[in-house]
Amino acid sequence: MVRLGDVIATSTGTFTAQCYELYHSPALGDLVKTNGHYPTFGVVYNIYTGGLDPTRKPTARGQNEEKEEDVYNNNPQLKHLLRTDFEAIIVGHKMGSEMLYHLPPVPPPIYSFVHTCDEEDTKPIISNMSVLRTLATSNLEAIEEVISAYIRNGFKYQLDNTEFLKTVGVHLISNLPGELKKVEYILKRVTR
Amino acid sequence: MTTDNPVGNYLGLVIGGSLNQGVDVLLDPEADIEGIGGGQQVVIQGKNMRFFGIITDITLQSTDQSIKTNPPDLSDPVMASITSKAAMYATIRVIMALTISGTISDSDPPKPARNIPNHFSKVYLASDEDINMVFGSEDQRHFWIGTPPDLESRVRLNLEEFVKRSNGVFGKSGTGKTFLTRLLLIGIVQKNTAVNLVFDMENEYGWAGSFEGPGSVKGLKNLFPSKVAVFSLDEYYSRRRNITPDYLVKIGYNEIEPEDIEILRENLNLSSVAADACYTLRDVYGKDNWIKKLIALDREALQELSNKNNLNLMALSTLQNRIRGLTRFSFLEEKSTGRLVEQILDNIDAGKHIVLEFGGFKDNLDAYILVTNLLTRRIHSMYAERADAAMGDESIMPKPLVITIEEAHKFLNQGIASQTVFGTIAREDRKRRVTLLIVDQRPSGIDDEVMSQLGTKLSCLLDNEKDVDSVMSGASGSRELRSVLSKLESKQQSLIFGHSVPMPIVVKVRDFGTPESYSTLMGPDEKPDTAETLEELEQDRQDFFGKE
Ligand SMILES: Nc1ncnc2c1ncn2[C@@H]1O[C@H](COP(=O)(O)OP(=O)(O)OP(=O)(O)O)[C@@H](O)[C@H]1O
Ligand SMILES: [Mg+2]
Repeated sequence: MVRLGDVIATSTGTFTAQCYELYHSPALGDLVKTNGHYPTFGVVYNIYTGGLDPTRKPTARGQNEEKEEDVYNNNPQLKHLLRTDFEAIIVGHKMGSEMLYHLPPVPPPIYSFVHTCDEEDTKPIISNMSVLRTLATSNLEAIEEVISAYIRNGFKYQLDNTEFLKTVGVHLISNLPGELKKVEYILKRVTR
Repeated sequence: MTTDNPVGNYLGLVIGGSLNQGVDVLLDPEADIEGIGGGQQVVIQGKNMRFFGIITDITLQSTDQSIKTNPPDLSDPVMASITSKAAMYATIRVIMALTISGTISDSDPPKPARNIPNHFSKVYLASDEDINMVFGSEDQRHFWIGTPPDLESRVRLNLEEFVKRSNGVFGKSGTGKTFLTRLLLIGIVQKNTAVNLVFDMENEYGWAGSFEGPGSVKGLKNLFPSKVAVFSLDEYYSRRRNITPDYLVKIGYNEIEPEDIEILRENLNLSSVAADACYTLRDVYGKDNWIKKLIALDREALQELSNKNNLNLMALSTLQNRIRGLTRFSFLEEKSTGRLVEQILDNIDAGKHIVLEFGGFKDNLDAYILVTNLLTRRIHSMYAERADAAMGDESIMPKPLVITIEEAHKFLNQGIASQTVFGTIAREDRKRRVTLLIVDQRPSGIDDEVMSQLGTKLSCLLDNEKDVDSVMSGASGSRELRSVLSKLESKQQSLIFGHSVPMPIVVKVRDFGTPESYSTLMGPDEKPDTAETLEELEQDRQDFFGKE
C-alpha cells in the first residue's frame, strides 16, 4: 500500500486528492482508498496537473532546451510551483470490517490520507458488479474510458478473462439500457 | 396440485397480458426457442390453480432498438454472448383454455378458463402426463385421434359428444382430410357411438386393396367386414377390382324430385327459371312421370308445353337437355325396381355402417350431388319421423346417424344451405339423431351459419384467409388460433377444437396405413363394449389376416 496524497476536497459522491509528488498519481480507473472513520474507496476518473497558484498559469520554457527533461532539470523550482491532483468517484466504504457498496454517511474529511489498494481490498470490489452500476450511471466525463481501465485492472485477479468480460458485459448492458453501442465501446477498450 | 413439471419443460415467467388476448411469457434464456412452436400446449402453475393454454405467438425482442439498425460486432464472441443474454429476449403469447383447481375427477373436470395466472407464475411445456390428464384415458367413448407434436401422449376425442352435433373436417388439398375422416369413421365404428352413412365420392372409405398401387390403404369394409355394408353405383368398377359390393344402387327417374335438380342448378348451369320449371312439370305430369315425360318430348311437344304452362321455351329446352344428360347415368333407370332407401335403413337398423361408393362416377359432381341429395333427403325424413315418434323415449330412439359428405360446399353454400336437407340437418337440434360430417377444402364456400353450428372442427392446414376465417368463426380465442391454423404442417397435422375436446389442440394425426395401425384399429384396441363385439372383431381379424 503506497500513500499517494491527501484529500483536499470532498463531496457526497467524489473526492479530490493532491499528490505528494508532482506526477505521482494513480492511473485512470485505479482503485484508491482513504483513511478515516469510514475508509472510503474510489475509482480514479480524472487527473489534473497545473500551477500551484491557480491564478498563475505555467508559461512555456522549453524553447532553448535540447530535451524535455532539461526543462525540469534546469528549473528545479518547477517541482514546487506545479501540482498533480486526482479525483475519484466513491464506489463503497468500510463499516468496521464490512465492505459496503454504497456511499459512506459522510465523505472522507480533508487531509485524509489516500492510498493505493492492495489485492486484499481490490479482489472483492472487482468481483462486485454493483460497482459497475455506480460507474456506468454516473454522468462523469469520459466515464467509458474509466470503466474500461477499471475492468482491465480486474484482469489480474481472474482465472478466465473471457468469462469475466462476459459477466461484466451482461451487467453493463442491463445498467445501460438502450446503449449497447456504448457497452461495445467500453469492452473493446478493455482488450485493445 | 402436486404434479411436478419436468425441469426441461420450463419455459419462463408470466410477465403480462390479458384474458382476451392471452398472457405474455418471458422466455427463460435457457429455454430452446427453436424447439417451441405455435399451437403447443403449455401448463402454467398459478398460485391456486393450474392453467392450460396454447402458444399462439413467439416474439423476439431486444432492449435496444439500435440492434436492428446498427448491430454490435457479433463476430466477437464476448459481444455475441452478452448481447444474446442481456439485450435480446423472447416472449411467447399463450391463450388460456382451461383451469384445473385440484386433481381432475368427474366431479371436478377442467373448466374453461375465465381467469389468468398471477404475474411471475411459472410456465412449462405440457408433459405427456398433463395431456393424458386433460384428454381423458382409454374408454368406450374416447378415441385416440393423434398425438401433440413432440409428445407421445394420446389425444382423444369424445365420440359420444362428437356424434351429437354436425362436425367438419377441413384443410387444403392433400393435407390429410380423407385420412383423418377415415379415422373418425373407424372410431365411430369401434366405439359404436353412431351409425355411419358415407357418400364416398372418391372410393376411399369402403374398399381398398394393394392392387390400387402404392399408397393405397384399407377401407372400412376391409377392417370391419361384418359391420360395414358397401353400396355401389357402378357394378363394373367393382367387378374390375374383384370386389363384390353388398348392394348395387339403382335409382328410378320417379325418385328424382325437383329439389334434386334445384341443388344441381349451379353445376348444370341452369337458370333459376329453368330449375323452377321442374315444379311445374311435376304438377303437370305427376311426381312419378315428369322426368320420363320430359326427356321424351320432341320439339313441337316442348313448344306446346311451353305455351300451355307459360314456361320459357329456351329454359325448358335447356332443362330437357341437362336432364337427358343425367339420365345417361347407368345407375338411373326408368322405374325404380329396388328398395334402395329401405335397404339402407334396414342395414342401419341392423347396426351396419354404410359406404356408398361412386365407382366410375368418381369425380363426377353431378352424380355425387344428385345421389347424395336424393338419398339424404329421404333417409333424413324417415329417420326424423322415427325420432319424433319415439318422443324422447331412449329405448326406441333410433341410433345416431352420421352422414359423411365430401365437397360439402356444393350442398351447403350460402345460396342453397337454407333450402337443402343438409342445411336443415346442420341446423336442427340433436333430438333428430341425424348429423353431418362434412369434409371440404374450401370452407369459405360454406354458409356461415352452418359453419358456426358445427360442434367440433378438425382442420388441417389452410392458407387462404377466407377459409381460415370461416373455420375460426365463432371459436373463442379465434384471432389467436388463426395463426396456429395457418402454420400447421402440410400433412397429417390438424387443429381440433369444439365440443368433443376439452380445449383446442394441435395433433399429429394418428398414422394410418401401416400393419400396426390396422391391427390396433380393428382389434379390441380399447376394450370393446360387449363380448359379442369382441367375437365379431376377432372374426374380422381372422378374415383379414387369416387364422393364426
Ligand atoms: N394419418 C395419416 N397417416 C398416414 N398418411 C397420411 C395421414 N394423413 C395424410 N397422409 C398422407 O397424405 C396424403 C394425402 O392425404 P389425404 O388423401 O387424406 O388428403 P386430402 O386432404 O383428403 O386430399 P384431397 O383434397 O386431394 O382429397 C395421403 O395419401 C397420405 O400419404
Ligand atoms: Mg380427400
